[in-house]
Amino acid sequence: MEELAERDDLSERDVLAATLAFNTRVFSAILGAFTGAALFALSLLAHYGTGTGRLMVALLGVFLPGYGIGWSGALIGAFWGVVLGALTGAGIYRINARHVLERIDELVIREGDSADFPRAVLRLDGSSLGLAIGLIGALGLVATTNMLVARGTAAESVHARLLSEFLPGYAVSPLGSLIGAIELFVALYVCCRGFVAIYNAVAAGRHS
Amino acid sequence: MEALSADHRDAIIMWALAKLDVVAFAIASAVICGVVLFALTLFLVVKGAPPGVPVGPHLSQLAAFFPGYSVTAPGALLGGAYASGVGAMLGLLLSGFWNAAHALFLAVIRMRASLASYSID
Repeated sequence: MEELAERDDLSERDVLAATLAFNTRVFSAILGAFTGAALFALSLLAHYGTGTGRLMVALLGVFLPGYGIGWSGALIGAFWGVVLGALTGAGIYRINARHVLERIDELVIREGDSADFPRAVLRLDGSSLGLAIGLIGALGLVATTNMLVARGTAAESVHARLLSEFLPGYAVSPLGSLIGAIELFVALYVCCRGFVAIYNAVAAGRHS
Repeated sequence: MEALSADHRDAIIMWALAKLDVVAFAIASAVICGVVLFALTLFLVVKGAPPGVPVGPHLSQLAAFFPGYSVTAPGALLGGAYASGVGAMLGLLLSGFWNAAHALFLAVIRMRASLASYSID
């Protein structure tokens, strides 16, 4: 009996692992495509437009080697966007789905059984999503800031320094990046909690 | 115990293939994006700048994408409205792609099951 229970538990985890792998790929693909398309469009907008976005492309080019204004820069930007978006998407989805087994029943609104498959609407978990997006955002800030420090251009990074307008204590330095990361984590966590509260309330109202 | 476990497995698959509520996702994205830009703009307006120095010169460059936007109190409202529109669009696209990917996956499963049910004899 214990062996059977163990086997049941194992297959449950197998099912979860398989579904997580599929959904991670889907979310990575969507976020990668979004980010790639956005960087591609921004570069072409800066190239053909009235100068809009030139500064943004130049600033992003500091972190994405080869990214710049024009077709070749846009294609390289699309590549970086797909890679970084996909990695970010995978990270967000995996962190978000860490404790899904314990709360599985709270995370779906059943819509009744259709002919062959029970359909449901997804509910979101605010703390998991907040933790996932907050962590990824905070790590991103630490990584990009310290990239500027490592390449020795921290003193000239006037645009990065502007973040201190919204994140008091942030500076283009290792310590400043940590302070900024903590504040950014809190801000993103609060935004995610708000987002999930609205989403769940509207979804529950429409499907209950 | 076994039935419970089977239920749990079904619940996992149902969760994994559950669709996002596109309308709810778009509304939530719109509200959060709108409130964030509104709050950031208003924060700079309240903070102010020394005489002769423009308030929020970098954020005000958003006017290139959002015509009429400025780092002022009315600009915060207008920016919030624009950001809500962009947020709603992004929310619609993200949830729409998510649902489409799952619908496609389910359609493939159904097709393979239906093909497998045919006997060559």
